[in-house]
Amino acid sequence: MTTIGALIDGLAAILPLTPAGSIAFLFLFAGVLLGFLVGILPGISSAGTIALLIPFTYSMEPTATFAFLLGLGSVTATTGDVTSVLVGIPGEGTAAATVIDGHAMTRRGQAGRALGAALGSSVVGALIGALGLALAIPVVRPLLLSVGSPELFMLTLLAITSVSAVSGRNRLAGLAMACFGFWLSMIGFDPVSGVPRFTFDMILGSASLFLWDGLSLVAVSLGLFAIPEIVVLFSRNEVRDRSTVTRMTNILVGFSDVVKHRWLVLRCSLIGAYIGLLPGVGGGTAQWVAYAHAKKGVHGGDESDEGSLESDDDQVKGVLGPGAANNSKEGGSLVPTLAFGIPGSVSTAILLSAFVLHGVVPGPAMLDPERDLGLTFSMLWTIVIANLLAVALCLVVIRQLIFITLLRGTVLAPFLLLFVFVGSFAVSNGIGNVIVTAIFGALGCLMIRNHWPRPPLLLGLVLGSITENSLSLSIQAHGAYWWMRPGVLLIAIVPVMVIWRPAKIFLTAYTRRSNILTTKDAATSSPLSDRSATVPARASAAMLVIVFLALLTVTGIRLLSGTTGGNVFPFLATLAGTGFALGAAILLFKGRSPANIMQHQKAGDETVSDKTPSSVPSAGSALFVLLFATLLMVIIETAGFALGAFVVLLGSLVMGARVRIHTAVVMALTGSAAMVIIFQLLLALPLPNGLVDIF
Amino acid sequence: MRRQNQSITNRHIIRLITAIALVFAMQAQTDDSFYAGKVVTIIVGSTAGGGLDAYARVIARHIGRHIPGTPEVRVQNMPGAGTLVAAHYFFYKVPADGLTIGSWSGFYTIKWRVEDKPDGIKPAKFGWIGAPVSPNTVCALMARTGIDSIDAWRASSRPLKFGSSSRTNMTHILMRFMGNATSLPIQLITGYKGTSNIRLALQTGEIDGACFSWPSMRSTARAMLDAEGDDKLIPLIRVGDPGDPEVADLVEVHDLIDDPSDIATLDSMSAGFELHRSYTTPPGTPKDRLEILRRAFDATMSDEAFLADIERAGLVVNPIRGHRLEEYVNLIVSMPAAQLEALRPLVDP
Repeated sequence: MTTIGALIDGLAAILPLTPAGSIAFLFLFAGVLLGFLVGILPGISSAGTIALLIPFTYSMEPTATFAFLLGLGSVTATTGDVTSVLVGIPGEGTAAATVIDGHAMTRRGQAGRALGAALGSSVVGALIGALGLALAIPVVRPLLLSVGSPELFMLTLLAITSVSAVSGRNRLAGLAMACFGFWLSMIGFDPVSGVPRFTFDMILGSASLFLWDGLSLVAVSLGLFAIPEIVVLFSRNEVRDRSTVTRMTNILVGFSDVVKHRWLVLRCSLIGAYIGLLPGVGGGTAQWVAYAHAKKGVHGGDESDEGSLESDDDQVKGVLGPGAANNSKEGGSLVPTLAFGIPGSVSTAILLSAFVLHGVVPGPAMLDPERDLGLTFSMLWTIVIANLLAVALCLVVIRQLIFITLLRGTVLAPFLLLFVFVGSFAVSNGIGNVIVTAIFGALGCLMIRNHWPRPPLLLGLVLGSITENSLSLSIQAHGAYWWMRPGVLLIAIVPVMVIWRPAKIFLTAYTRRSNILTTKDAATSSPLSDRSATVPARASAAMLVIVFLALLTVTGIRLLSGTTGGNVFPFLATLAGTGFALGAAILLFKGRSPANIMQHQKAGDETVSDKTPSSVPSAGSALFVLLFATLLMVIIETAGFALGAFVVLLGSLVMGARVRIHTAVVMALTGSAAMVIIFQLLLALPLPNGLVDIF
Repeated sequence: MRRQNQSITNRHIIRLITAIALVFAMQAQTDDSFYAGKVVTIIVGSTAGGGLDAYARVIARHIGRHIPGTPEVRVQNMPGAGTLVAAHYFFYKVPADGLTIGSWSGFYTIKWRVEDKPDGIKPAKFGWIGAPVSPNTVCALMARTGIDSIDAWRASSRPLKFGSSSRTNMTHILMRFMGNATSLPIQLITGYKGTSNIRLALQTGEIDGACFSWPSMRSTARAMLDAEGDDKLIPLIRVGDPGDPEVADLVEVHDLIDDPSDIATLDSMSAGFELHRSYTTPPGTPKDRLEILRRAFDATMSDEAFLADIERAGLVVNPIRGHRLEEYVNLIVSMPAAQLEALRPLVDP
């Protein structure tokens, strides 16, 4: 049989043309339905769900099994984008990047277009990820084998610096945040030395083990991205004009954006597929690198001030990029799993165990047209068809979904907060990660107010351990001259350039005080003649420096005292972070910081912020949400989830949103019942029972 | 009338209480019905997808049938720190009701014994149910190195790079020991995330060789074992007897060691190897429930449907019974001070 024959056979195996194909298609559809739900619900990951479902597939045929599991796994990124766009809550860890521009568009009444763009790019991404890699099978081996530890290290630096470069105008603050993310990723058990690092055992107690497995990415991203959105919602009480927002044509505009920016979508899909291919780098990274690529050359974009300066066209790029990449990475990570038994991501690692249980042995046979290539192709087709089905399903319910965004902020916010609560609770079935989410929620609000970009922090957390590992392995395996490899030098160009630009500004700022800004920057900063930063901005910059100095002291002491555990990388990360934070602070104090410029513009022009709802969480709302969240935790922990959720929803609807009492009762009852049904009954998640347990 | 009604109610309540008390008393006496309608959870200390997880999932599918009351059995993954997170959780946190089974590397027993922290984990306190397989490590080199025999390896002018995941990992400690006790030139490259990344590093040429447990190598590295030319992975040393003709002719590690004290060290480590894939109950689990689980485990190991699933998954079964595991633990716990000192530099990270 030829490769083309295998390609056709692979498709036929999962289409309802034969009895076996019908069964496979049915399971594929069931998988998509489940994946749809999993994608929307934060805290429920596709990897975890696939692991739960494996035992149910023992008696199924391999083709049907993989149609089911892969169907589930490959649509979560698509539906995860939907919640990111609509309510600013990333339904999956891989959909956080879509929040930034996607939700900003929703806030400006462009939800339909943003959804269209996200869904359209998802399908294209899935198609390119799957079929592009099917065609690239002959070169997959050299591609995979060309990346040793030194190249992997440099690639992680490339990813993190390019994201720092585009996600805010304050590049030094971005780099500092990336270093902070690196340090956060060091929290937990050091896998190499086998001892816990920075786990706060002194405070939590050595038997708590809570931070031993590191910070949960889901809990952190819910905190950084979802909580600030909810805080903003609490201060938004106006009713939107529904006539324009829900028009279906908006979705078509989003689809046409995919065509309009086809080369961007193609490039981001390829970026996603390549990152998916690299073992251990995976989903959390692909979205951000694609985002960075899409926003490259878009001026005026500041992550922390979404929407105020960018055109719709620029924002839609920020949706298309990650939308395409977080789907194409699926195909990318599947191919090395099948060809070498080396999973590219967590969910493919779990799929690998399903392969083994079904007697499918990864290896060259999977790429051989005479043997299992048909099965390989049927898996790649599954990814494509699953995404088509998911988009079709989304289109069916899209109007209802968009209506959510028309609700008054004060009505919507308590529901979303409860949703986030359950999501972070589900991460480890305990209250610990709810607290982590709350802490990072506060940090997220602080970061937005100070124009410290959030994406580099999150990516630093995702990539920290692999960066440390690959650096350590490079030095061990290749000696002191590991960086002399041609591949490393080639990749190094980008990070060097990214760090060069602020370094240059910084140096010129010191050598020639006048004339330091480029013409473009000078134009924006001309109203700024007094050079003074606002007091809170200065205080925050100083605080950032102090935090880094404290971290540097801790890591320095560990390094010098020879404490067990890897100490070099945490020290380097905090050292670099201190440098970047100091640089950012000095520029701010000298009135040269872009953040400073923007704050002045805002202060001087209130009318702009009147037109578009502010995206900057106010300190008052943040405090209110913190109080509310604490109350929520206390009530749920004592009264149990069902009763607690009802009481808190009712209270906030009546007192906060001033909804009439009987309407509020119905809404609170429906909301809490829906969550209990979905999480406790459908997904068997052990929600807190409260003090009822004691009696 | 009213009084009569009340007395009936009281009588009902008394009867009800008596009935409930009886049920509890019966349950306390015989544990046969204890598991009925309950859920038994197997906590696996690795991510889904690894060898440890694969065994647990197949066992979970079958062991429930052999426990009186046929409870539902679920697998819960608690990855982290080479199964140490799960082990700690299991020692300190899990209620000792016989409803939770742990699967983490029992080799840490040696580490805990050597460290001997007052508030540390005491391996003798666990209940040892059994192990489906003994790990029987095999060390192999890539053909690319040009080395296809022990003699060629010994004569190598440069140390051969061996990949490992963590300094607390069983195979790492074994390789470290081999580097000290044999005349083979070995350089350890530590920090790979799991065996799949070690396999990738073997193929990229970053490392020259690796030691895996044979049950894992024979299935996950099958394509490399079967490859031709430079890409072939050649097994050279075995630890113990994996009972597989494919590696039966390899040199056993004891034959590479001359010093009797090194042999004694290796033997005390061997007890730890046997514990590597063991299944345990948390400290304080009632003896009769441990016995029920042991019997169920032994019955599962010879269950035909179970063995068919094992074969389909490309795994092998070579069970070690719970009582035997307990003997190994006692051996480690009562290890003489001289042995402990010999192990200390190997185990301390």
